[in-house]
Amino acid sequence: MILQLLNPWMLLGAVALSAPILIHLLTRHTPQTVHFPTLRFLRRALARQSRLMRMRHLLLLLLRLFLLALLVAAFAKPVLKLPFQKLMVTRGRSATLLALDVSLSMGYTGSGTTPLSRAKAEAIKVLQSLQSRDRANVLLVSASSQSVAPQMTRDLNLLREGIESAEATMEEADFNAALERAADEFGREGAKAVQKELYVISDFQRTNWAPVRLEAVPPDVNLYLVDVDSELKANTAVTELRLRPSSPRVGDVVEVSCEVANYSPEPREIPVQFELAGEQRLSQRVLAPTFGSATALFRLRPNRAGDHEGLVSIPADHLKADNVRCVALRLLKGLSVLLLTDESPDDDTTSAFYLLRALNPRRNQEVSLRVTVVNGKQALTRDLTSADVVFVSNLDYLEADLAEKLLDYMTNNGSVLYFLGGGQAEAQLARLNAASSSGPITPFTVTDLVDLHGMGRGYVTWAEARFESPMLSLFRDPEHGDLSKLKFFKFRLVRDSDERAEVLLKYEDRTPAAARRRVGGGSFVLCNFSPHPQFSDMMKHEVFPPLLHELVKGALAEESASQDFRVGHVASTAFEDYGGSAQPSLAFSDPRGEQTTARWQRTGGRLSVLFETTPQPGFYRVRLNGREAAAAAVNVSPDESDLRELEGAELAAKQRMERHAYSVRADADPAHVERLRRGRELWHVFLLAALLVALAEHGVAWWMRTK
Amino acid sequence: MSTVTPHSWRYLHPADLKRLKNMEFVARKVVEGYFSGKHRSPYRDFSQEFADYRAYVPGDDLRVLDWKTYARTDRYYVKLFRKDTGMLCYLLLDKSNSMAYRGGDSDLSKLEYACFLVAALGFLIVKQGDRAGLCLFDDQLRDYRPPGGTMPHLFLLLNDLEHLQPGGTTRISAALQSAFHLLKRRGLLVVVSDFLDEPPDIFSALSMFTHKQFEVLLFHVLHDDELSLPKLDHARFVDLELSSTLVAEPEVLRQTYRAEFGRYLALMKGHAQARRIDYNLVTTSTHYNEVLEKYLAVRQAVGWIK
Repeated sequence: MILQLLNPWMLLGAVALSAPILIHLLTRHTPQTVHFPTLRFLRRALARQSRLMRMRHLLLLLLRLFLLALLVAAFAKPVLKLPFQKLMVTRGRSATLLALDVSLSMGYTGSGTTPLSRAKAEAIKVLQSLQSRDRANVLLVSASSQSVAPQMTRDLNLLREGIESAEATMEEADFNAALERAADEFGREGAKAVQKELYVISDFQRTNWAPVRLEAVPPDVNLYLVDVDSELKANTAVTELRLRPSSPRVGDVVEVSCEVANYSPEPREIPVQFELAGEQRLSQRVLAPTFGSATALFRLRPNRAGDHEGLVSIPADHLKADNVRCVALRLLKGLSVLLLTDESPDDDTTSAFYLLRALNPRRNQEVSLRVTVVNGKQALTRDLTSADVVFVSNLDYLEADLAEKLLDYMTNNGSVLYFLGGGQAEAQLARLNAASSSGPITPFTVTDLVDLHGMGRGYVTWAEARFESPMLSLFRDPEHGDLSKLKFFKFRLVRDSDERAEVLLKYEDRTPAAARRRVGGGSFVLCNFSPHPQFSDMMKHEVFPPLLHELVKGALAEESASQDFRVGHVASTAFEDYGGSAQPSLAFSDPRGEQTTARWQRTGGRLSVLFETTPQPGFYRVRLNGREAAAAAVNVSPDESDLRELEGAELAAKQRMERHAYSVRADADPAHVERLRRGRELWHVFLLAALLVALAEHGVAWWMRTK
Repeated sequence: MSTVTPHSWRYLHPADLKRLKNMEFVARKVVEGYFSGKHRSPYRDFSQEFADYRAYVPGDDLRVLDWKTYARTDRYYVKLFRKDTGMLCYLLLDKSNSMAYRGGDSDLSKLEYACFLVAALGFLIVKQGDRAGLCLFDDQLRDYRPPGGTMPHLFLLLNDLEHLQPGGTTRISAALQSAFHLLKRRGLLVVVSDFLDEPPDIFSALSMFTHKQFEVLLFHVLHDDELSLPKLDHARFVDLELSSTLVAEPEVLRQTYRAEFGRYLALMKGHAQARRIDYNLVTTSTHYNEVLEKYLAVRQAVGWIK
């Protein structure tokens, strides 16, 4: 605590007030003359009293001086301030910035008035305390903060209107960005303002505030943290939606996993409903523990390829926006796999036979994977771009032109899975590398073939798998197939593994069994195994078909997986438009169905659309030539659902370690904030002290007279 | 005796005379005087009236031994005689500078007050047929008028008082010692002073008189200011006798001064009581008549000491 004088020039009053004292002291030296019979007794009395009287006189003098000092100090307007406070001075103008939290949580309606309405009231109180010469601005803090005025202004009415018209958004609050913006705004004020103040008015939701760094606020700015919310608010929300598989195909069973959070002090049973637009409606009840979550699982099998709009909902509460979550489920039509092989697919001694059977057991074109078998020569004249994935297995020859064609295919977003089986593997891989102008494309270089069976050493198995990859994620759970049971009799020795490659599988001796490398927009997956009976017993295992299916889907996962976008952030979607116009007829709409703006770009046969403005949760749709083409699902941030405040100790730690600030409760005495700004006035304390000292002085003087 | 007093006497007013007319100053001790009066005389004379017998003790004057009683009883007895004699009263008045203090301008000075007191006492003594004398002193005896019992003698005393001017310093002990050699015959010694001297010295000198069977009466005349200091915040005190100065704050000093002066007064009273000397503290704010009336009433009520 530091004492500061707002009117230090009043100390000159001490000179004026000392005049009576001086007069008194001067007149003391002209006493009245008394001719007295004898001074003997006077001297004796003086001798007895002199020492005591000196002390008493000194005490009286000190009391009188103290009284004078207190009176002068009272007129000098002393104020008590905290060490970091720079107090408002009566002269000079101030620059004040109000950072008003307008995130989703500020719209909570469960406590009568919303936190935002209380925040607005506090903001207006601060505005009302400003003088006509002061400048101010209001920053509405959300994912992308906006100022009410372009720069600090004296037009307080404008700011007041901005505050009154502010509404809670659907976005989370990015206070780090807001504080940086505030710092910029104060920087523009420069030295024009004598006093700089930043009021952050928020509910201090922990998920928003935990990562906030107060150091961004310049040190010459007084920082006030005004908390408008003090009670615990209960809330339930749908916080996450996951699809498995992430890129389902027509005919696939899609598992929709819905995470429901319960942010209340008691467990709750929550009914969860999932609706796929125009198709199915499913419901479940889950029991969510106190401040915990539960998962509802829905399984469905959509039949129509294209984008499906899915919606998960729970009963509405005081924060409705997070009780609903949408997902754009893109159901892909059956994948087209081109099997490039010179083997006969009808010969059960060939790899092609088993690959074909695994990919499409019934040779049914209506299943999710359609397989076309072509030989090397046919491949030269075939348009590879019609295939989603190309399997290469046991080609007799891989000429340069075919190698270039394959390379071209991969560069243009195609994926190739090459199975090592034939004796030409080394040469073919070398030719593929040679066809690439940007260097080798193979994830690793193969050398000799190891024949464990022929060596009488039995087999090897896969010892390591990268289950994070979409190609293998299904098999993380052994119930979907235990890859370690597959036996491999022959494989190639490996040297020179490319560090940029993603190793998917390894044998027991850590030899790569499969690896993937990006090639342009596509990828090259080199499989150091073969389904040929002489190479492995893969075809005997039930896991073989799903493995191949996952390898195919995984190769395409990043292109077509459903994405989750947040309100206030950019949302995007993409779709295929092969053979479309260079200037397609596109229309964009927001969740309310109203026209909105977006940017788009064509890359080959794909159109990518970017919605830069997403103020509402829901589906942002794209219509191509009048028909629904794609949709992007935008949801509120799950961080806004946990309405718990940042703990007082955490906030205090921030203030202690990062930057000093002063915390104020919104419902505190209105004069409290004024005291923070101006310091605690102490003139009345000094006057009271002066009165007490005056009483003490009289008491001492009386006591001296009677003693 | 007719009491005709000139109206112009400064220190004896007609009103006072009326009041004093019925007062009587009786000697407590056996006094020695030339003339017959109301007071018992220690002297035995054959012409005196026989009063009583008492048993002989060695040392008694054999001239008063009653031989007849011895013849009859074979025991020795002495005769006691009663003889009235006139009292001698010595009025010793302090005229030192300290007695000039009067406090406010309208007040009586201590000397003036003392003169009134001495005049009244002198009148009383002469009126009742006794004799009064006057000694004026400061640091030594300055003037002496032997005792007389007539009105003209009283007038002389009054005249001395009227022409009296204060002066000199106070040294009572020295003055008393000088007076002791002067006052041959015992009687009543009345000292009227402010006694601003060391009590042991004062009473040591007075002891000479008491030892010689003088009856000693002290009137300690003070001003109220001497008891509790003038009511001033700040004063420069100037000693009336020594002219030394002292700056002090009476308001602040009063309590301690009272205590100090009170100790001195207690000492005076204690010494007087120890020597069976009548000690009267009077202040100039109390009318001297009142003082005398009160004192004489008490004195008469007490009666004969012996």
